Amino acid sequence: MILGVKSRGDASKRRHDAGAEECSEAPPKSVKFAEGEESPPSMRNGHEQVKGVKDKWKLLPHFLQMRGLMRQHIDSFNYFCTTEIKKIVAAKSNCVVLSDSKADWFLEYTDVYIEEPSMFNEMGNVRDITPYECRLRDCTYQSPIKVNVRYTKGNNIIRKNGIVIGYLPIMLRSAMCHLTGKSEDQLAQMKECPYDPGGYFIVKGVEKVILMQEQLSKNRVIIELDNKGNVSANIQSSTHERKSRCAIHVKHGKVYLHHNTLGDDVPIVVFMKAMGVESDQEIVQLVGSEPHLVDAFGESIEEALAVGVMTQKQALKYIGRKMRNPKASLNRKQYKARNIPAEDEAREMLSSVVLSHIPCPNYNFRAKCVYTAHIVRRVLTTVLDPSSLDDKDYYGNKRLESAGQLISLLFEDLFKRFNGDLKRYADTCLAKQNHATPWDISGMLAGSMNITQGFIHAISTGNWVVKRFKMDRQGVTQVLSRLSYISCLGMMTRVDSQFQKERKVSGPRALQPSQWGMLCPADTPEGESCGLVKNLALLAHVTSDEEPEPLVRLCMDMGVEDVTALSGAEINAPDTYLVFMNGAIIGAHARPELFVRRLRFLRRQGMVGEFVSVYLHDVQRAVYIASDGGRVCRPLLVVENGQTLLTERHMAQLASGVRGLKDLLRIGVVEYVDVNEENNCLIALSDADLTERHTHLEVDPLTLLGVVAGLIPYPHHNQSPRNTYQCAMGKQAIGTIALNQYERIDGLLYTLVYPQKPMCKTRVIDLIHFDEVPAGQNSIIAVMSYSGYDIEDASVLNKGSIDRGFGRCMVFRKHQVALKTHPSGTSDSINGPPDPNNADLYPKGENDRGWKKYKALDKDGIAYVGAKLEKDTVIINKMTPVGTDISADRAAATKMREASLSYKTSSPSYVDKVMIASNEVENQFFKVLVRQVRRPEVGDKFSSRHGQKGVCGIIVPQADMPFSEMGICPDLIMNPHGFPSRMTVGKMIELIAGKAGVLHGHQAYGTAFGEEFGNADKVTDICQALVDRGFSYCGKDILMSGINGEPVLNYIFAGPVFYQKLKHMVMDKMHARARGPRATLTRQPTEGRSRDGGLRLGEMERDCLIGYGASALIMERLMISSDAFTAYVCEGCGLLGYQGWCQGCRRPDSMSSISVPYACKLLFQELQSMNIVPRLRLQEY
Amino acid sequence: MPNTRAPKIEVLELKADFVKFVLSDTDTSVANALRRVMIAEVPTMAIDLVTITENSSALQDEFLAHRLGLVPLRCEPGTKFVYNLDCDCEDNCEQCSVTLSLDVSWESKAAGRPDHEKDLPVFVTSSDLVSHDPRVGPVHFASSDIIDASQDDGIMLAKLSRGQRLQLTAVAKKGIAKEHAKWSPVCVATYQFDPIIKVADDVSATLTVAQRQQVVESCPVKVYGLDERTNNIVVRNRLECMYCDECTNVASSLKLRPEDDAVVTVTASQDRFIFSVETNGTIDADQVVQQALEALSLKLQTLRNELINVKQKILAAA
Repeated sequence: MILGVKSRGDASKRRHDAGAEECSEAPPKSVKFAEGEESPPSMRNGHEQVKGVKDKWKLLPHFLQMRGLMRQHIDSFNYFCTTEIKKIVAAKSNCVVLSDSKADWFLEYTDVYIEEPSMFNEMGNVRDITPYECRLRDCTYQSPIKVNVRYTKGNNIIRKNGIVIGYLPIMLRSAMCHLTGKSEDQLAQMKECPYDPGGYFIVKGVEKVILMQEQLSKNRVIIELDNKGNVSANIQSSTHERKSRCAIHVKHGKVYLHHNTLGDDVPIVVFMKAMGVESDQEIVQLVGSEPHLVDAFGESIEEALAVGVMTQKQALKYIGRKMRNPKASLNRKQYKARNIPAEDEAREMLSSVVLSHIPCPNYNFRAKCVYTAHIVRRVLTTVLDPSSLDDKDYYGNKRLESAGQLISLLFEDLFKRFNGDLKRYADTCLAKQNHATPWDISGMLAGSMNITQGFIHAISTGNWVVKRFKMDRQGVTQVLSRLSYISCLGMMTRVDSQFQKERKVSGPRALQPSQWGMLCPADTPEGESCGLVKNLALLAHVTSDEEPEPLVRLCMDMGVEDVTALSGAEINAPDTYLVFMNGAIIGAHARPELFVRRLRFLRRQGMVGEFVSVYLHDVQRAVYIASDGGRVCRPLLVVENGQTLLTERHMAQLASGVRGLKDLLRIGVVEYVDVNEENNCLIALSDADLTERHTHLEVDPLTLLGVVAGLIPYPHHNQSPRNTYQCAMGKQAIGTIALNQYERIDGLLYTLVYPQKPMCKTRVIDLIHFDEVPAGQNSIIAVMSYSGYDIEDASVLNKGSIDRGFGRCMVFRKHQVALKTHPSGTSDSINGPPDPNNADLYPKGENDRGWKKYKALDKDGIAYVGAKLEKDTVIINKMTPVGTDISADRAAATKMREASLSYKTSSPSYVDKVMIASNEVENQFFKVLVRQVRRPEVGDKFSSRHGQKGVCGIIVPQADMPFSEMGICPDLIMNPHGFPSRMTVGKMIELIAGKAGVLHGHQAYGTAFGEEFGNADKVTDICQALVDRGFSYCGKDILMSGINGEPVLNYIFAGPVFYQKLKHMVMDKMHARARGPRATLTRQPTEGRSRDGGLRLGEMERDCLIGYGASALIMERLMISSDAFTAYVCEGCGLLGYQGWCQGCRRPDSMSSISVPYACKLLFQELQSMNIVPRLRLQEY
Repeated sequence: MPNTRAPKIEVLELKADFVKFVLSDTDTSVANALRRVMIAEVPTMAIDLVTITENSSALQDEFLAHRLGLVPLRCEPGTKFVYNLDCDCEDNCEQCSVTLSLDVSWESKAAGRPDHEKDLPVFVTSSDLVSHDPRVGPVHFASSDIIDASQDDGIMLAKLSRGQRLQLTAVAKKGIAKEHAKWSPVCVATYQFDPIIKVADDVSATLTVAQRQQVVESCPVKVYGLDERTNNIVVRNRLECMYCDECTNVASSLKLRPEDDAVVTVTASQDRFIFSVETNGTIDADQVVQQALEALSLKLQTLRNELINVKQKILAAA
């Protein structure tokens, strides 16, 4: 037994080591941090010594170093690339391709592996590609999937290795990626940002994230009330071959089985009998012979009698009759045999479709019987005691499906289709007689693009279609938001729920207590998807699948008795606990507590995978062991006898790099605990709380929040929705998106000219290196009212500050155009600008109005770098042939017309970069990056980090701003009305902490829940620091009015607060129109700013005008200024006609003209087309 | 109130870049006018027009131009320029502007470096700006002594790495900070009201020493002290007072009856203003004050002339 365990342990060890190598190569950033910040908030004097380990938070950098920020995505993808893909290819149904035409022909895959991303260069050689190149050249960052095969060619068996069957898009920073393990310098050489988290794909130049999808866990029993109020146990079975859903529910006091393949509910006893448990006594024993259960189950037993089922054969026949589509469960070969008796079909269905995750080797139904009986037992117990209903929203019942799993589903499907194609091809080729040379399939293997295209299509559209599982999901992938570094991180931690957004239920949206430490309580959007889209907490990890078989063997060795060998009475004995492995019963154990303790001990020793969860459920008398993928778990410090196993020595070893966190995991000082296992834990928040009963200690309470909420200083002092608002706004803050931001050519990029690191930061800011890629500026704010232009959250900005660079930002926009080759054989071309000295065309030369639009062009017809672009300036002077299709005649094909790319926006820009490139799809394309520098103006949106957004209401000269006797005058004045109702005390503390920090020359800390742990400066210390520097302890100053020089009558709360400039700027939004384009159909003004549309006078505005009786104004707005039209109406027939002619009456003299909205005239005509005749009766008015 | 028409100035401290003086016998409006003019209306030279010939640095053209604009340019005292708008020339000329040029490449600066510094970036600073007019030039400290003493190599404009070059000419023009803060000659121009701190000795006598100590310690900036001999409260650092009301709050808490006099009272003097002016090096601090006063009187002059004009017009109309 021990041998088996050892080998398992070794395997896991090897995996650890591989991971460790990865990390040791990475720059020791976080180590530096741990040392550098030795003296955290410097102002805490007299900080009492906590018992146990001081500064637990210092573990955090090590956690982050060990797993990176986006481990959940990368781990799951790595698992696919290294393990899952091999399993899929090696699966019995996939690894061999046979032909119907020739019995001895075969193709067998012996291995499959994925190499590093590469592509063919111009010379046809393979070369490596970098993600940077892919982004710029609109390529896909993908690597070849290579297989080793054996196949028959003629009479020989041929082996071929390394055949490329397709390309797989590679996740950045995964094991296959070139970036993995590179130093900062190497990354800089590859023009990659060292802080980029990875975890996304680059497909056709677009960065795509596969969002984590939250689902109800598979293969688990969930007991809930159905919509009729009956107790129902739902089980979603999922195996590689089949997914099915099954319900065991109570109806009229009787228990039935419901399954989609069955047209009708089947009495549960019939189902049990069909599986070979014919004796009623045995059934009752399996379910449980406690009197109350027997009472509740009695009717169900009679039900079987009532339908006349006594034996297995009768039961199978009964079920066979109820089957909806008898052939569906059988595979094609059996289908061909056709005349199968109904009971055989039923038997087949019972074994492979119903509850398919419980295997029935050779139709041995025993395990499934026990399982069903157990479910029935739980259902009956629930009927008697509704308190044992399961909660669907409980997070232990959820699984997160991440990139690796989705890619694996897709790959399996694509691979099966690929094999299908091969087979079909082999069938036709082998069917032909008289081959000159023996037929070779290898060409076909390498030539197919289906797998490559399948991946690219799925990832770039987000449509995941797997017909086998009837899966057709939209929006699985999203374009990675690169608005700011934070928005990018926020997107990578996002968890999407499958729930429909329209449903107005609160359950799935509510914050579940079990989400503590797993999902961020603050970071969720407002509005329709509130609570459905969530974000992982800082240290939460999502597990990958792990082989259950060795675990099962281990359990058996540890005293779990095989359940198939036990009788019902033994199983349901009061001291027997059932042992479940990933939802299936593997046996029973008489001393579950000992068993659980031992199993956990083995896990802590690294003999069992670190993410295996062991959970003892006393009420259900069961031990649940889980090794499946998609569970959320988090690390905790192990506590024994009221003491953490973590010691100062460990901390020192970590700091010096002697030991890594992996080692602590391996020796059981730290362990990962999933949501279910947390139920068996008593977790202390801090060392001070530890008692003998505690089993674990939180690493740090700040890990309860996610990455985005981690930016907020003192969030625990804020009203909770404010933190939620900040989470949404932090993603819109302009700043730095990455260190390579100026090397990138994004569609739209906002950057701040002078981003600053916040004066008041948090530990999370250190962890994610926000100081290196900040988004915002420290502005001195004064909380006072000023000028009246600051009401309703508007703020007053200092013109002097703006002149000096406050809030100054740059906007980059990409313009792209490709030169196409047309079917007519001609292709687009680029011409230089026309000659301005051509006096016929341009009498005024270069200043001529007609020529002006070419002034940005270089001789080659592309705008030069640094050129100023105004509205309608040509950026690329592209020409395209008049006739492009195949049938175009020679003259049309050679004649060129202008199809230039011109600058559309009204505010001018400058050309920043011009790129010319080609890829597999386009033979030449151009990207022109255009830049604009903007200074803040009235109407631009700003926000602090506390959900306090506001627009700039007025910009005031520096001389007019209030000033202190030291000469300090604020950059921004905030209205005090922003505080009372919002209760953002955190902002006030940020202000005084920042002020103290400024005076002492260091960044202050304001980590969530940090005062107790030395992660946040305490207000008392801050006040002391202020007083030490001659400031008022409450952060208030005396200010003088800049306008009249008198002192302001109150003390003004003033100091530095980190302000974010948000992406919403008036320049992009302001819009007005007098005249302009109209829609063709209705002749009404177009809609929207982008189409230079009109401003709508809507229904409610119309109602006001009606109420006012302003009829002339209504007439003007709704008709004259919109779509007035003079129509001619025949007074004879009342139909529309021409001026001076009625086609209906065929006479000219009866026409009168009326002025109607064109839409009205259109309506009449449309009605006419539907055989409804609207006749107008005209009257003198 | 004393004679507000005869204000006095008493200089407390004078350095090249800093002046502290007391303006007395006038009222707030005058003091504030002086402050506002110093901030916004004393003309200086600042780069206003940048022609970039080559910029292969990491910074964008506009970014650089903005940085250049904020570089303070020192004018020799007595140098007079006219405003570009008032000048007769077409674009700009020596009367209204100064041309500066900058041409730095990594190669040119990194040439003489030791090997271990070979790959480090080259700093382009304000000292690389070459002025075409000897009277005007970039400055980063007020006095040459500090410049010599500091390690600072000028105001950082950009960093260049291998192969990068920055070549540009910049035109500095005369202007005032009303238009753009880059023309402001001052970093700090502020005043405080001279505090009048009164210790009521008779009330003090009724207090215990501990209570007096309490009053003394209440002040965060240590304005008060206890006389060693008599243990009476005395005012030690009057000018440090920041009107925080801490002492008066304590004093009022020590009152036996609400109508009693407090032991200390702090009031702001309405006619004495302590000015602090720190320049950014473009003009000497005393010059800033003088030019501000000139500008102020010029404004008043203009107003007076306008008034006379208006009056004459009215008379003529009548």
